[in-house]
Amino acid sequence: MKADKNLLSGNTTMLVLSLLQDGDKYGYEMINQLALRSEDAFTLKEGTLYPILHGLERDGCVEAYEKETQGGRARRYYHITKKGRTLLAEQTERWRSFSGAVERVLGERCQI
Amino acid sequence: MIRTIYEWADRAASYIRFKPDRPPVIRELTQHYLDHRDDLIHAGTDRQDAECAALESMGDPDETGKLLNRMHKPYLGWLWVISRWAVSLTAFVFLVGLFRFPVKEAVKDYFYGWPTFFGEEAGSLASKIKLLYEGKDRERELFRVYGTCSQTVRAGDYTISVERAVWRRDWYGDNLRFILRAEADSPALGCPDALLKYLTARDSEDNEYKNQCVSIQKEVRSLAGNSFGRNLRNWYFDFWLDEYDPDAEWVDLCYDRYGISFVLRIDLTGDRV
Repeated sequence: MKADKNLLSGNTTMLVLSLLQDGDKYGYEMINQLALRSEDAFTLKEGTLYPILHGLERDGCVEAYEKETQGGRARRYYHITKKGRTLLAEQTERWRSFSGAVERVLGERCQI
Repeated sequence: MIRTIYEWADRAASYIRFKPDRPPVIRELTQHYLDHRDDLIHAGTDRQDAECAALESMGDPDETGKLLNRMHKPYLGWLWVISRWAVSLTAFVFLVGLFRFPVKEAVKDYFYGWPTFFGEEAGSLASKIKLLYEGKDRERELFRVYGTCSQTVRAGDYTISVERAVWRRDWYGDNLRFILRAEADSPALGCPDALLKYLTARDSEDNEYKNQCVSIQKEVRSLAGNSFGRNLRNWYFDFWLDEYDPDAEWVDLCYDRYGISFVLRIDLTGDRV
C-alpha cells in the first residue's frame, strides 16, 4: 500500500537520513530497505529519492563516494555526516512530539 | 516513447542546467536501473520483462529531472568550480613566484630594503648605496675620500645620522655626496622632507652651501638632495654639494627651523683612495 503522499512529504528526508544511520548505502539499497522496514507501507520513488539525496549532499548532511561493483561499474554510496545526524535528531524529535499529540487526541476520543 | 535507460537518464539529466553535474547523475540513475533489473532477473523474471519493469519503476523522467535541477543549482556549482580553480591558480603562482623570485627579494623591493626589525641591514637599499658610492663613475675619478660621522642628533620625532659620505674629485671638480638617515620614532610618521628643503652646510674654510630648493639663483656653492628610499622607520636622503672646497677638513650640516635645529659634522681628513 502506498502511503498517502501528504503524510510522507517533509518527513521523507527524515526517513532517508534514518536509513543511513546504521551504515552507508546506495540509492537502490535504500529503497529496498525502506520497503522492508516499513513492511511495504512506504515505497519511495527513484524520482523522489535521488533529488532528496543530492539536496542533502549539497547541504552537507550527507557525503557521497563511489565504490566499484563486481561488474566494474561505480556505485554511489551515501554517508550521513554529523550535520545530517543533527538534522535527523531534530526531525525525529519534531515527528515524535507531533505523533504523540495525535495519539493523545485519538486516545481521548476512544475513551468516549 | 522512452525505450532504454539511456534515453531515460539523458532526458532526466537534460533538465539539470549545471552541465558538469550531468554525467555523474546519469551514471547513478543508470546504475540504479541496472541493480533493479538484475534483482528481478535473479528473482526469476525473464530478461525482457525485467528490463521493462525496471524502466517503468524509474518513474517520470521529466518530473525527476526538474526536481534534480533544483538541487544542482548552476550558481553554487560554478562558484565551486571557480573557487577550486582560483585556489589552484593561486597556489601555482605562489610556488612559481617562490622559486623564480625569492620572497626576500620581493619584500626588499617593496620596503626599499629588508625591515630592520629582522635585525638585518637594508637589502636593496644597501646595494643602491653601494652602487652609488662605490660603483659608478670610477673612470672619471681622480681620487676619493670617505667621510665619517659618528654623531646622531635628535630632530623632532626623528633621529638623524649620516649613513655614508664621500668626497670625490674628477675632471669636473670636487663634490661631496652623502646619505642622511632619519629614523622615525614610529613607522606611522611620514617623510621628514623639510630636511630636503632646509638643510644647509658650512665647511671648515667658512664656505656656505645654501640649499638649492630655497635659493632661486644658482649659487656657486650649493647643496641639493632628494628622497632616496624608505625602510619602515628609516627615511634616506641623497645629498650632494657641488663646488666643494678641497681644502676643507670637515663639513657641518645645519638645520634650524621652527624650533628644531641640529648640526652634524662630517670629517673629511681620511686618506685619499
